[in-house]
Amino acid sequence: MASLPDEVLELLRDPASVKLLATVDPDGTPHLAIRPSLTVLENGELAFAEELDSSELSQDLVHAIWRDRRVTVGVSLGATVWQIRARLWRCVITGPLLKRFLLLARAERGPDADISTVWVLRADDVRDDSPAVRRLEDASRRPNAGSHLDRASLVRREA
Amino acid sequence: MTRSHEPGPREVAALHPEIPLFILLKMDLQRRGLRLTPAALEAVQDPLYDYSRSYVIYGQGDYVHTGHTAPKNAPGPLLLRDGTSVLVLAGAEYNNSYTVDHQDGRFLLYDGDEFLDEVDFSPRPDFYGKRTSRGTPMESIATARPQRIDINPYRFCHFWEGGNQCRYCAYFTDVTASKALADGKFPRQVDPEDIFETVREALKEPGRFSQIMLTSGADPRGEHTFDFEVDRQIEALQAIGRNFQGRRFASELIGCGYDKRQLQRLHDETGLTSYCPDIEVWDPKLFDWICPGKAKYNGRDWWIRSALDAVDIFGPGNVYTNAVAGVELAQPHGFKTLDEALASHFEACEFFAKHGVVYLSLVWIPWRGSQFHGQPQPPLEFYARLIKGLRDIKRAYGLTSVNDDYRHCGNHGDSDLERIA
Ligand code: SF4
Repeated sequence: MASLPDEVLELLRDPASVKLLATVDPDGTPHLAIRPSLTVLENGELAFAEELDSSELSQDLVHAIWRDRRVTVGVSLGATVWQIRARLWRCVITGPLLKRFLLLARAERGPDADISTVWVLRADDVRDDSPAVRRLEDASRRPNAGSHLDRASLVRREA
Repeated sequence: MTRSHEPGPREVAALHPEIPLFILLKMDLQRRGLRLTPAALEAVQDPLYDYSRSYVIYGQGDYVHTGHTAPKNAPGPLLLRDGTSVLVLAGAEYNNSYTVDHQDGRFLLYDGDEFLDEVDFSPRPDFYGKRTSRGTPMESIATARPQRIDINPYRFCHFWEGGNQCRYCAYFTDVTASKALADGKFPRQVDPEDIFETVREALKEPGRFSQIMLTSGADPRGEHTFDFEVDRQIEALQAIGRNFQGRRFASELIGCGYDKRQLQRLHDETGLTSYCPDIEVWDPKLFDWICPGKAKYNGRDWWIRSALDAVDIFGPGNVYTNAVAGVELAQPHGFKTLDEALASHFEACEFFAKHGVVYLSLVWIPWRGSQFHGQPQPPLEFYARLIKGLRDIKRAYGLTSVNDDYRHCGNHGDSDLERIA
């Protein structure tokens, strides 16, 4: 399991971050889901709550754990974006972890809130996908490639 | 090196790539049983796992060599990483068992020396260890699956009187531990108030249960066959129902074949949502041989009729019937080939599916205490072909096992396969 940089851990624990999961179904069709409950556990594993077994995401996750396929997690706040490729590690339908996420859901959404499952993931690799970082990396690998020549940082403007 | 010489889950998965390894492993665990190393046995005494005194492991078999002479409490159902539950009684070894060890705080599954995967056990529910207002230990009233409460309102099967029990059955043959759990009192009939209070307590634990299942031994007595049994089930279901605001609650009754009037009463007088009269064996001659009690009261056609009638009352997809898959190969009268056995299952599944009944398979274990003890089980590949065929038939009829899926029951490879629509 890859360890995550502190910045990513903070982002994952920040309720203001947008947390996304990208999966594919058994036919290969991609699917994107937002899961605000996604967080990092004390042991470094990622976990989030899923409400319904019948959701597209649940179905894709079952497919992924059965076939040992990876999923991608995106976490973003402002101009910062990180991407984590991860393996499904556990589908939790009972026990302390399920209880913890359920109580959180009920604290947020009221006593009738429910979840069916907590999915646990293990990161394989992580990369900073923020546009600024990607641009710098691209510039160092492929200088002069692909950027428009009229950008403010390139063109000498008349006074 | 594995201890098994017949094709195991990995080899069968290579032959049937559409069946996930997790489900093959689950069915093979059911077939072959599970033993705990001394470290694992110690680890499951932890309050999180220490399931119940209702299943105790004595210093028998392999444990003789480990120095465990005092009884130890057994864990609950095994959980695989994909959420598949395996209803296998750890310690009740019967056929070249798998092993669970405990290392660095993790439970690890082995086949012989070969490490297979990390596993877990269903946690002990909060109501275990508590007593009803009559002083009855609640864990003697109800037991817990990962998401289901199981209750036996009546703990005796009258088919055993006169030797009419199903030939694979070992139900209620060893109630020593259950009696000890109930402080020596083990009345056949459970007090409905104890059931009400136990369920009330169980529902206090957040997210622990999503279904309640009732089953009992058969009781054909009454003015009409099974009237006593139906009266008792209604009493128990009404007691459970007092815990809920609404009319219905997610529930299943695994019972005998009832007539229309009895089924209507169960539907109208209780909050029951699904009903399951088990056909056990489809072939008419084998049904009569293997289930003499069911044949006597009131025969195969009656049990089939009951399932079909129930669809009119509970709705398509809310009526189930189980087959103990493999018993139809028991000798001397059983099928001689796996293909014949599979064809019989598929015929049964198709017949029931046409009428809105969900036909499910169970892995047969030739329990000690049953008449079939010592008979060979079919190979794992038989179960692989079986669950795929059953899933395909039910899918073609738009049937799914909502009340008997991986989450609620966990006993059926074919309903596990339905997790992907
Ligand atoms: S009906 Fe058959 S399987 Fe059920 S308890 Fe009686 S003998 Fe056993």
